[in-house]
Amino acid sequence: MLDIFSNAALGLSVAVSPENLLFCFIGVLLGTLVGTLPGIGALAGVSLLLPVTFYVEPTTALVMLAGIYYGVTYGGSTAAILLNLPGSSAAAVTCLDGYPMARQGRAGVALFMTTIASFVGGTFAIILLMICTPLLARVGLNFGPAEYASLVVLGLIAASTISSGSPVRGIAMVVLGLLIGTAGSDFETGRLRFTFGHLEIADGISFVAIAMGLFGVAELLNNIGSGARTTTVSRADYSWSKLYPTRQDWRDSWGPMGRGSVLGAAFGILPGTGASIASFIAYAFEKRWSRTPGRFGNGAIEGIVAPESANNAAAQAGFIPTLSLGIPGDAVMALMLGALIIHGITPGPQVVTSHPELFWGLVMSFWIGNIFLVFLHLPLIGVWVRILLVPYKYLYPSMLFFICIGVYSVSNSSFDILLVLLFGVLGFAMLKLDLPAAPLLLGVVLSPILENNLRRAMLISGGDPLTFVERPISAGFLLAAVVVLVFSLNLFKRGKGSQQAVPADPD
Amino acid sequence: MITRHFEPRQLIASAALCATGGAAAYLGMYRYGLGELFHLGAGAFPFLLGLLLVALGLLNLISAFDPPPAPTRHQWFGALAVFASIAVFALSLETLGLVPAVILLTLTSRLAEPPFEPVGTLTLAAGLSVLAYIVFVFGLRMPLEAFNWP
Repeated sequence: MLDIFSNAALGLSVAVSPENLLFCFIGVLLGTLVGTLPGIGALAGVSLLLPVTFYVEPTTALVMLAGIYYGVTYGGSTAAILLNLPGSSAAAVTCLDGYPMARQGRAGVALFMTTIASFVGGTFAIILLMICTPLLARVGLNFGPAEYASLVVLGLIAASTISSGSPVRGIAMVVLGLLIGTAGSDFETGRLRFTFGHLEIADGISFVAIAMGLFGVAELLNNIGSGARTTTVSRADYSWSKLYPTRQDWRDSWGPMGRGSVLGAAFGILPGTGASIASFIAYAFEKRWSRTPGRFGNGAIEGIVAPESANNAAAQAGFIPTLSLGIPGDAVMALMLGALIIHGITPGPQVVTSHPELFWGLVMSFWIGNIFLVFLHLPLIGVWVRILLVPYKYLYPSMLFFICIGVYSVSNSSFDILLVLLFGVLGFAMLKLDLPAAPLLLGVVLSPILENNLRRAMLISGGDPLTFVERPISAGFLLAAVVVLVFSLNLFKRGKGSQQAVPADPD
Repeated sequence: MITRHFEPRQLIASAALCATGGAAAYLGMYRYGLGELFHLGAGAFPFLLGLLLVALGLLNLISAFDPPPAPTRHQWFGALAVFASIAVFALSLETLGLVPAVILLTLTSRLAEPPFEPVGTLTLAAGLSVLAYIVFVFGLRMPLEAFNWP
C-alpha cells in the first residue's frame, strides 16, 4: 500500500508542473465545450486535438486528451438537461429525468447535482485505477506472445460485438482495420505492403488522418442536412440560490451516486461496454431499486445522478485495461494508445513500470482535472448555455479547417490531407452502409501488436498453431472470446426488441 | 435470419468487404509471401485477414440489416461539397498559400448547408484566415506562406 502513496506523490509532482496543469485545463475546457455542443462527440473532439500531441511530451499529451474525454462526460449533461438534446451519447439517459426537472424550474439543481455525481463517480474510478492497474500490469508482464495475441483477439472481439447492432459487421470492421494497420513496411522483412507506390505511407498510414477522416469528417457529414438546429433556451435562473439542492435532494442522491459509481466502474473496465452502456444500466438499475419507480421520467433526481456518476466512472475506469495491458476498450482509448505509439512508447503491461511518471502523472492529473471541471461548471453554467447557441453553419467549416490544418501540421504534407479525404469518404460510406467505424480504429491501433505477437508465438512454438490453445492462459482468453461471440450472436438473434433498450453507437 | 426484402445496400457492403478481403488475400499470398509456419512471411497476416474478411462479407448477407436512412439529395450534395472543400484545401495550401486555401475551404464547404449567406460566410472566412495566420504561421511557425502568388 505504501507503494501507492510514494507513486502518487511522484505522479502529483508530474501533474502539477505548469505545462501539465495548463494542458489539463485546456483538455477539460475543450472537453466541456465538445460535450456541450450537440453533434461533436468525444471521438471527434479527441481526434481533432491529436496533432497537438506531436508538440508536447507524451505525458502532457495524454493528460490533455484524457481531459477532453472525461470533460465530455461532464459537458454532455448540460445540453441533455436544458434542451433534451444529449450532447454526447453517454448523456442520452440524462435527458429522461433532467429535462423534466428543467421544465419544473429545477435546471440549476439538476446541473449542480450532475456535476457532483460526475465528480463522485470519477473519484471512485480513479481510486480503483490506482489500485488495479499496477496489479493487472504485473499479471500481464508474465504473458508470452501467445497469451498476448489471444488477449488482443479477446479485446477486439469484445469491443466490437457487445454493444454493436451487428456482431458480424463489427468484427468485419475490426478485420478491415487490422488490414489497414498492416500497410507500410513489414517490421521483420521490411517488405512494403499495401502502399501502391506511395512512399508517404511506408511508415504506415497516418493514424491521425484515419481518426480525423473517420470521426471528424464523417461525423460532421452526419449532421449536415439533418435540419438546421434552431434551438431556444428558456431564460432559466442560474443564480447560486437556485442551483443549490434541497436537503431532500442530497438525501435521495447519495445512494444512486454510490451504486452508479460501482456499476460504471465495472462496465468501464470491460471492453466493449463504455460510458453509454454504463449510464443506461445505472438508470435501469436505479429504477428497479426504487420504491417509487413512477417518479422516474418525471424529474426524479435519482434518474440523473445515477447515470451521470456511472458514465464518468466508466470513462475513468476505461483507462485500467488500456494502461495496464494495452488493450483499449473503445475507440477513444485506442486514440490514447495511438498517441503513445506516436511517441514511440509501445502500449502494454510494461508501461506502468518503465514509464511510472507517465502512468502516475496521468492518474494524478485526473484528480486535478475533475476538480477543474467542478469549478468550470458550477459558476459558468450560464456561459455553457450560450455556447449551445453557436449555429452549426459556422461551426462545421471551422471544424473542417482545424481538421485539415491539424493533419497537415503533423508532417507538413498535403498528402495527409488527401488521406483524410479518403477516410472521410470511407467513413461516409460506412455510415450509410451500417458499418461501425469505432471497431475499425481499434483494429488499426492493435494491428502491429497482434501481428508481432502472432509471428513470435509461431516462431517460439516451432510453427505449431495449436500453441494458442495448448497454453492454458491463452486458451482461456480464446475460450472467453468464443463465449462473448456466442453471447452476442444470441442477443442479436433475439431480434431488435432486446436491443432497442441499448443506446445506439457510443460515438 | 434471412432478410425479408431485398436490400441493395447490404449487397453493396458485402461485395465491398469480399472484394477488399479477396484482394488482400491475393496480394498477401502472391506478392508479399506467406513464409513458413514457424517463420511467417510478410503476407501471412494480411492473407489470413483477407480470408476472414471474405467470410464475414458473406455472413453479412444473411445477418439482419437495419440501415440508417438513405442519404437524401441534400446530404449527397452536402457530402460532395465537404469532400471538395478538403480536396481544394489540400491542393491550394502549398501552391496558393494559407489564406487563399482557408477562404476556398470555407466558401466550398458552406455550400453544404444552404442558404449560403455571402456576408456571414465571408466574415467567417476572413476570421478563420486571420486566426490561421496568427496561430499556425506566426505562433507555431509552420513553414507556410500566407500568400504564395506566382
